[in-house]
Parts: sequence; structure tokens; C-alpha cells
Amino acid sequence: MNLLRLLPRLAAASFAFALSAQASAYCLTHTCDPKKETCEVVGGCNVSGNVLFWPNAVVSFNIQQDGSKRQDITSDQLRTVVKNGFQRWVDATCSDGRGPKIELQDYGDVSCAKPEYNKDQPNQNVITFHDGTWPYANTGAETLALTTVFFNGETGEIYDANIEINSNQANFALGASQATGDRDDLNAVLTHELGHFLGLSHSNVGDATMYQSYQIGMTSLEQDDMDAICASLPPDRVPLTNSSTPRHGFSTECGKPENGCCSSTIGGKAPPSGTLALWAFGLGVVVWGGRAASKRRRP
Amino acid sequence: MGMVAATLVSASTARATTARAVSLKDLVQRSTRIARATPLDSFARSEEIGGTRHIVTYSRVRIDEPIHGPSGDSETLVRTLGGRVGDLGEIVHGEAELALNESCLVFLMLDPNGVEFVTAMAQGHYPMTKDSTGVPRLHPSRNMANLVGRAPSAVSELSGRAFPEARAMILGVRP
Repeated sequence: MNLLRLLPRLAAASFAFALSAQASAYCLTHTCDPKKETCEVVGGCNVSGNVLFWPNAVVSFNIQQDGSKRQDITSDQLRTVVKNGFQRWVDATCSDGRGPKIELQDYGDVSCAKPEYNKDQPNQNVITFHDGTWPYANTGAETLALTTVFFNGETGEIYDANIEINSNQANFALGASQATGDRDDLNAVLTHELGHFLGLSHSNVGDATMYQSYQIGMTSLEQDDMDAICASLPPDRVPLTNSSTPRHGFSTECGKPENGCCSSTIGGKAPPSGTLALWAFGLGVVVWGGRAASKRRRP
Repeated sequence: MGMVAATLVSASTARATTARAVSLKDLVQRSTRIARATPLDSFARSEEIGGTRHIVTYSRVRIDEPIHGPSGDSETLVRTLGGRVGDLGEIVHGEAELALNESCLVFLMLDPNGVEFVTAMAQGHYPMTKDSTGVPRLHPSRNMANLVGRAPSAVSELSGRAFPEARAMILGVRP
């Protein structure tokens, strides 16, 4: 067979391969931290370590009680958007016709607006607006929402998840029809963020909700999204607990400052500059971290 | 090829998102340091950011080639959100992941307290791999946020570019 006759077949094979590669291009979130260790990357996904997963059969969530006065969105309106978004993920159809093994339970409004995890105190999985200052100095008005997930770095068990919405610098609409100009579609934004909340990372499939960009009104899940949530929370999985209570109990209020955290130097202050000083700083943190770890019983 | 190109163009323009796509001009003008760099090692700890406790990672980064900003430093320390302290991990979706020993183009900004961050999170971080001819090419950061289009965005302009091309584009914005 000469090369000219072979080329179309090679092209077709390449295209078929590209399609098959796209057919399952979601990424699950893994425990491996590429900032501190070498992680294997396959198809753009970090695949080293364990997959993050919710240990609960039922996961609770909370809405921050203030809603957004700046956006004229109440906590109940946000709750409706969140519930609808979760329902889309719960309603996904897996290959055996069943849905992903997860339920969500609304634990009501909370006063806490902090996306943090308390190691020794009650917690809440909060979804909150930030009408005041957006707390992240390296991102400005471009960031609309941010999901933070805390997990056991060895097993992948998710401890806590929170979503912050940048209502200070961005403007939101509750429906796609109103999301024009500089107003973004809160339904679409949260459907994506709730995927992260449930343990998913991004997808390489262009029409997936978990792709790194999406269209206004894109609130329905694509096949790749359903494959992802079914892989993360398979219908036949056995949850580690039937309780929906957050780790260390539930509280509507934020935790108090914890021992071993951020009491002094850095909290925004820079470590000293200069290579030697940087190393001295790093060494100090390592020693400090080691002492803290020896006192730590359970994260 | 045409179909693929059309898909790429479509993906980078008519979309809405969690993060608005930052233009190359914005990214360059907001950054106090732009460099080809390589993260060498890191350490993580808990810190308060905006009154909330987070795990942050400090990456010690070698400056391989400064493009803009301080030129005398051979290394710097960059703080990113997320990381691991003991058994506890935190991931902030959309933040840059400065992978160990992975050469990258990075846009940094200095906060008033002297801490360097990655500008616009993952939108300011471009890992590089060498193509078949040995030319380093830029890729989008792996933890990229979902972007609403403001065409042409820095991500769409820089991804796939050879490093020398990208450097020239940056210097075209800020000589």
C-alpha cells in the first residue's frame, strides 16, 4: 500500500482516536499535589493518588443568610438556584440506568460566610456571596465564583466544600434570559461550581458543563458530565456513613481560631526576601509544621 | 483541521463562566514580574487570607529568564492557594498549580505586603513542553477556571505559542 492511499486511513484513524479520547475526557480530582510531588498526567488530568470522594450518602449544604443585597438576591433565591443545580447532578443517568449515589440535604441558613474547615470544631458546607471585599488579592473582577474543597490527603475523603460568589465585583442574573451584557448567569455558574463541590475537576470536552468555559444558559449536563459524576459517585458505591452531618458536627456559626494556624507572621505579610532568608523561612515553617503535626491527632 | 480550528475559536469566544477571561494586555499590565521559571520545591502552611483560614503553598521558583520586572533575582517565592499540611489537603479550583520541575511562563504580582502571587490565578500560568523540534510551547494551566470569553483572551492568545513568540507578544504590550 503506498503512502498516498494510507494517509486518508491514518487521518480517519486519528480522528476516530480523537473522538474516542474526547468521549471520556472528564477529570476527577486526585489527592496528588503537583506543587510538592510528581503527579502523573494523562489526557490533561492529574491521575496520581486517590480520587476525592464524599464519604457520606447524604451531603449537607448551607446558604449564607444574608444573600446578596448588592445583587438583590435573597438567600432563598440562592437556595433555589443551588437546589436546582444539585438536582441536575443527582438526576444524572449512569450506564446501568441508575443515578449517582449521593443525596443532598439543605441544612438551612447559616451566619458563617467563611469557606474554611475546622479541624476540631463543627463545620458547614456553605455557599455564600461576598458583597464586601473579595478576599483574594491575585484575582479581581474576573473571578465570578470559587470552590474550595478540603480533603484527607491520603484517602481522598472529602471533609468540607464551600462556594464563594464574587458579588462585590461581578453582577449576576437568576435566569439566562437576563444574563446579558455584564450580568452573568448564576444558574450556569453554580451548576459548574457544584460539580467541583461534588468532587469533579475540569473536563476537556468542549460542550461539557465542567469544561473550562461554558455558555450562558448552559445548565443541562452533557454525557461527559454524567460519566464524570457516575465515576465519582457510582450507583453501587457503599458510603462510609449514612450521616449527613458535617465532620465534627454542624454549626451555623464559623469556628474560632484554631491552634497552630496562622496566628503570627504571614497572614498576608511577606516572608523576608533573598534566597538565604527564603530558605530560613522555609526551614522554620517545616520545623513548625513538624511540631504541629506531632500534636495533631485527627485532621 | 478546519473543524478543529473552528471548535477552538468557538470555545474561546462565545462562552460565559466562573472567571472572565483576562486579556493579554490586562495580564501584562497587572503583573509586576513576568518570567520563564521553574518551581524547584515548596512548603505549605495554614494562613489567614481575608480573615479566612486556608492552606497556602509557597513555591520556590527559579527565574530562568526574566521578561518584565526585577532582573537581578535568581529565585523568588510564590504563594498559591491550596496545598497539603499533614493529612489535610485543600484544593481551590481555578488557582495556578506550579508543578515541581515543570518549566512555565508565569505572570506574578506583588501585594502591598510583598507577597508574590500568580496574576489572575491559573490564567497567569502557562506550563511549557518542548515540541518535536525542541521549541518550548505554552499550554493552559491544568487547573484553569471556566472562562467567560472576552476575545481574544490571554489564554487563547498564548496557548500553543512557542515561548519566543509569547515573549515578543508580552514585550509588545510592555517593552
